Amino acid sequence: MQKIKAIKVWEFPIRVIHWTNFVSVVGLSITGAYIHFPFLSTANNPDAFVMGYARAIHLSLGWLLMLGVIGRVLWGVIGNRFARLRNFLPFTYPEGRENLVDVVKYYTFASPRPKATLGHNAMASLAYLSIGLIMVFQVVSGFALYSQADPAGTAYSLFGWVFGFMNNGYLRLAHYFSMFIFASFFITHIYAMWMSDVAERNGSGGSMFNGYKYGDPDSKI
Amino acid sequence: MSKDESVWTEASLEEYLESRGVSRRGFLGFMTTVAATLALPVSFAEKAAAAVTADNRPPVVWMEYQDCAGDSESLLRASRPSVGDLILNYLSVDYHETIMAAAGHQAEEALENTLTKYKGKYIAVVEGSIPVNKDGIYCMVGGRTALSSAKEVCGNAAAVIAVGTCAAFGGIAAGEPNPTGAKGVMDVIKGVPIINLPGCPMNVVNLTATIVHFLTFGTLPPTDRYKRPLFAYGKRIHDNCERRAHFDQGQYVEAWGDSGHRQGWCLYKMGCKGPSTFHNCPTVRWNDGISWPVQAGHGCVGCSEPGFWDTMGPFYDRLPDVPGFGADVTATKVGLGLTAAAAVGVAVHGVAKTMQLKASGGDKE
Ligand code: HEM
Ligand code: SF4
Repeated sequence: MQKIKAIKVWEFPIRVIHWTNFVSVVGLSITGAYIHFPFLSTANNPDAFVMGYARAIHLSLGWLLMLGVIGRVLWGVIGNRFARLRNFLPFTYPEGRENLVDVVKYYTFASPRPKATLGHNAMASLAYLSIGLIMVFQVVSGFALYSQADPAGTAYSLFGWVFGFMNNGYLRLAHYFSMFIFASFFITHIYAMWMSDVAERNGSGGSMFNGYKYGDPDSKI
Repeated sequence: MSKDESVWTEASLEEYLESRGVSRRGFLGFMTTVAATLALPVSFAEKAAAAVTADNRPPVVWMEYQDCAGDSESLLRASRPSVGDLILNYLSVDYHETIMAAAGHQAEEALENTLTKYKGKYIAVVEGSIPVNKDGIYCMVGGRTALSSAKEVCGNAAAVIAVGTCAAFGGIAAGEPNPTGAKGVMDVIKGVPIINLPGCPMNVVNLTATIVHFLTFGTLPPTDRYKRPLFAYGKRIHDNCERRAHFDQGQYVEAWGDSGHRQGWCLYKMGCKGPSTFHNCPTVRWNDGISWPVQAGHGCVGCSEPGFWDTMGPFYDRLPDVPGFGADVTATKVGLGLTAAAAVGVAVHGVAKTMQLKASGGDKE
């Protein structure tokens, strides 16, 4: 029998970063969708400046997302064991690989419930690794797009190399398409969180608010 | 151009211009414009005028490979020739396949003479892409492939100016699936200074300015990562566009001929590629500065960007189609499909999982 306790899994900075990322991604998606397809008609309002504001908000939230990504990586180095970057690479250590098999079984209906984990389970870790990389891509491609306004400027000297890999058309296409990846992620993320709450009763639903999960304090993951 | 040796080579540039009704004053005025295009001080004009009229100026040869002659057309223009055209005509007397009077062996001989006499000194202007598949047999001039001709002509030049998007990046011929293996000059020729003046076609003002810069300083002007001179490709169309205020304001043309179109609003929603394109069209414009596409009411098509044909089309959509999905599949379709699949997927999974949990018997632990 496992000993079940409420354990502080997500430290304060992790929770803050989680929610600033949430705010920036949602805000970036709304303003980004507007930039892609300016659906508000301002024909009769000469003072509207809608696109100007949409872009200003998009860029400001872009900074926020960049800080979030940098902050998360930093906390992945100095934070507690659940926050460590190693968790994002479950295939690199035995418990991780074991857990991956277990969670795949759970999602493919081969077993009703997964074994309890405290931090992210292995599959969730992989999902967060992917979405994290896409965030990095969005930050890099976003700042690269931004830097085009002044190719002689600092931003371009930092991000202009992107155009050595991808030309303008495809960079924008990828930046736009990533928005849908975030939307799909959002749906599966909420579902997986809810399901794990129901199937495992581990309190994952509240954990990003209060930091606590229920589980075996000796659990490796 | 009809090349009459006796007149063309003996007359000085000034005499030549004079004979075409361009005074020294007009000539200097033009050089000042060139200085402005290059973003150099006015004092440059005088210096450049001296360099251009100097006797030892290098000859220019103009090679055409896999092209439509659009850049030559741009050079000749429909309007009366400007000073710039006259100067270029004067400079490029040695060889120009489309407009020289000589033909056949005579023409090839003229080229051969220049190449030997001015080895390492002449300027090679290249128009059109260079096909490399099947050893380049898709483009042959005078019994030679463009590839071998380019290696000789460009390889021995003091500098190579690739005019037009085809010569710069392979252009239209290099569009998927690129059957001829078309490439830009810089991908085929190494070891010589190369500068790209992409555009479909290039703007003759930029060509003149580049040549004048070379004649004056002996070097090509500074360039960006795609070897395009910064004076002409250092700013985005979108950032110098006269319709930009409408963009920021949120005032867009929604359909051709609607009231927004008649009022000159922003063409963003009609697929304008100005936000992705670097070129000085809004400032130097075309046909003696009369107009340019956006001013004429049509969006920019992004012709001066690498991958123009594949990544700047469709002309009337904001973004390219998703590669690998066939024609007309937009990122919006694929993206909405993905999001819908995720939603349906979790719904089905959720129902099945709940049933499985119930069947496996309530709470464990
Ligand atoms: C969750 C992350 C993000 C999403 C979903 C997102 C979404 C979008 C979308 C849909 C567009 C319109 C693309 C088009 O149709 O051409 C766009 C444009 C843009 N984004 Fe983002 N973006 C994100 C992050 C960022 C970041 C971090 C930056 C960095 C500052 C950024 C900067 C830009 C810029 C500069 C543009 C072009 C604006 C313009 O054309 O005026 N984005 N974004
Ligand atoms: S017309 Fe094109 S280049 Fe001009 S502001 Fe609109 S989108 Fe930008």
